[in-house]
Amino acid sequence: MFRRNTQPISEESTATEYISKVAPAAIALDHDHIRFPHGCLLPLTARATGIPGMNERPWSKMNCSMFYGDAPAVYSITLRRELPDTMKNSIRARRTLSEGLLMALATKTGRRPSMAEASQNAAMDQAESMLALGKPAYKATLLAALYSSPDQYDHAERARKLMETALRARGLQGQRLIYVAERALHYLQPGGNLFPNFDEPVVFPEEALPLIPPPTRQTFPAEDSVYIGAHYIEGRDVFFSATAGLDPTVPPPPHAINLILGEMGSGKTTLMRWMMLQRLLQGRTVLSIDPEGENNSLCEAVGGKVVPAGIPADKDTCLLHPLQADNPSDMLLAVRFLMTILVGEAAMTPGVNAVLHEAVLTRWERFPGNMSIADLRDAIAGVNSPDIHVPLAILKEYQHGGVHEGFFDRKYALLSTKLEQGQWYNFDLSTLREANKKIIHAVLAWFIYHVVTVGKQPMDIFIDEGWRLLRSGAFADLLDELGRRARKRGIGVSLVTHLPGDLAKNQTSLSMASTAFIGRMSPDEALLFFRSLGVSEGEAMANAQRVSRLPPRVFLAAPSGGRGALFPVAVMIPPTWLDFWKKLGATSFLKSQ
Amino acid sequence: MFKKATAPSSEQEEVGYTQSFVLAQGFTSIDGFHALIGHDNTKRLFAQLSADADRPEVRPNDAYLAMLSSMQPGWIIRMLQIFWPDPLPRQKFLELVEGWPQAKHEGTSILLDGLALAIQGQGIPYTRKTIIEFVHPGPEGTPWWQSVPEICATHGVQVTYMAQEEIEALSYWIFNPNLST
Repeated sequence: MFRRNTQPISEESTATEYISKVAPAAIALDHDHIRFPHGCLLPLTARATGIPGMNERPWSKMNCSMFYGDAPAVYSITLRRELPDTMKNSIRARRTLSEGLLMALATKTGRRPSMAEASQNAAMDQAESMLALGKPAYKATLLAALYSSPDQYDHAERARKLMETALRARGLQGQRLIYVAERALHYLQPGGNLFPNFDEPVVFPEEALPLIPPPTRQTFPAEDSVYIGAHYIEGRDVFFSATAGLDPTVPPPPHAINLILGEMGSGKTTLMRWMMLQRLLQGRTVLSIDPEGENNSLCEAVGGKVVPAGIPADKDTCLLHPLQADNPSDMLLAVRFLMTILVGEAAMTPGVNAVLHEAVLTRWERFPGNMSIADLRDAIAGVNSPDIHVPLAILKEYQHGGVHEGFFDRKYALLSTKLEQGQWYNFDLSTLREANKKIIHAVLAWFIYHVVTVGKQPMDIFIDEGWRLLRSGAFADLLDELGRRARKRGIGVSLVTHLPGDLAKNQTSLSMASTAFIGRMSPDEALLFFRSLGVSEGEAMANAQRVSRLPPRVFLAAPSGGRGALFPVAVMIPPTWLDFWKKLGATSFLKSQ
Repeated sequence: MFKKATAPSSEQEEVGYTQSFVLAQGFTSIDGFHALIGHDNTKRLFAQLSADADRPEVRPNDAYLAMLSSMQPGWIIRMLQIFWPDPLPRQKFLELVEGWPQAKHEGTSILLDGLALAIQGQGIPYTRKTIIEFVHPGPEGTPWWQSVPEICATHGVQVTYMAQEEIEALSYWIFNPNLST
């Protein structure tokens, strides 16, 4: 019952004005929720027992995030600092009663206190002592209310049930305010009843702090941001910038490598496409490695170029001119890389390395700049060493006139470091033959490296099914260098894989990853991944559990390679885009929608 | 179903008034702060908390602990976190999209138009507003309330006192949530 106002007329008029301004347009009370014309409110509070500060007390296992689910929410906690004497006396009285009872039981029946009784008694003793020493205690009331649009009531109800389950798992009982749902409004409204006879536990500061929600901040997109979707809990928009990360107000990420992880069907290729196409629309050059050829039709539909992997049919065009560099040091690196992918690391003896060094130096002194395979062979032939025969023999089949000249030694190269601005190049590896796989992977890795180091054009590189390249060895070795150099040149590298174990093997590359979007994957895989990031075991396990429960198209966004605060983001793609992709016969993920 | 307190027509059945759900009793002023008169005639002061954008290493728990420890026995605070429509970041993104180069190809043109349409047509994004409601205990509470911004700023949390219009807007949103858009 509410009392009639007894204030002077002026105050009464302000009250009337306020009430008429804010009163609900309409309202309907159902047994455990409230309906408004454009929304529903589903209240939930919790009840539990226990002594303040007690280790096993359910309230000590609680935090406010338990009341945030997959629906917009209002969460409120009221704290009243209790008078120390009142609290102390109340606990002392309980303890006296409890001890008296236990002693009486012992005297009359000879029964010793159980461990639970002894523990409760000890907790009361501890709480009383804490209060006597001046530790503050607070009486708390908390309530959450999930909101939904009228047609999404079932969705919010599901979220409330999930919360009730989570509460039960921690020893608390969820309370829906059945038949008294209006109390939620009485409590939540500004100026409302802050102690409306819910469960009102007394808590110490260390129990109260996890129950208080942290403040948020507004996050605006950076100039080069792409839209990812909505924060799965808060509902805010999430943008991602290759240079500024997820939040442009914090210092930029140190490296340019971003990860998109998740098991098959988690939506990682869709997320990659969504980001890739937005970058293309921004006028950026986009380069994608497409092992299954899934993006060919999409690439052509937006005016991009599909580059088939393998030796070009044109007799004057080879795949790549690998020996391009600005200085002898980079040229030596190129030569060594080429030889390594052709003969393997085992054959790269100190003697062979010395020969290559001598050959590059001699050649550079006479003809500084790029060279062909034939030029390299000539330079090696001029070195006075018994180790020249291996490189000469290996390079022979790849030089102009050899059976494999189409890889590296023709007049023109298919893969040029001078790429057309604003163009999408999709490298289709679906036709790759097993015999050429290793060399093509290595060529691509080298090409990407060259685009970054020699071409220096701002662009974005997306590597789908990155595990294939990571297993090629040569690429994994280049990844570190790539990440370091790419950011300085305004180049973003996104690696997509469903096997984070391959990433974990390459510790350096992984630790450089600035942002990761982690989709659903098995807890074991996820744990392996989070462990490799170097976060604590407890955090790794908690994150792994979160990841394993993610629905499709929802990713945990992890700033700073998983070391920042992770948050779930639901990828939201415009219906026009989905239609466009469907018409092109994109992935099975889209067909199933 | 309750209806707003308007004179019912002869054909309408009167089932109640929504105004009875509003417990607060208008505004007053305490030492320059806008205060809402609560249902129990206490004066309630409001402030909004936000994480300091310039400080990524925000430590809200330290800020809260400092606040709670400095409260006197009998004082009451309430922390309220509410979802709140926040279209500004999306508007900024739309402006950026409008500044992207004109599409040269039919395919990219479809995608660009589709993206712009989706940004404008999707439901309004929400943010979380964090608000403190302080039950003013009397004159001894004012200095503490005045010191709250400094207490929190040390830990990267910004505090902004709320004006009457903002408190009204908060109440209005709680009583009239609109999730249909």
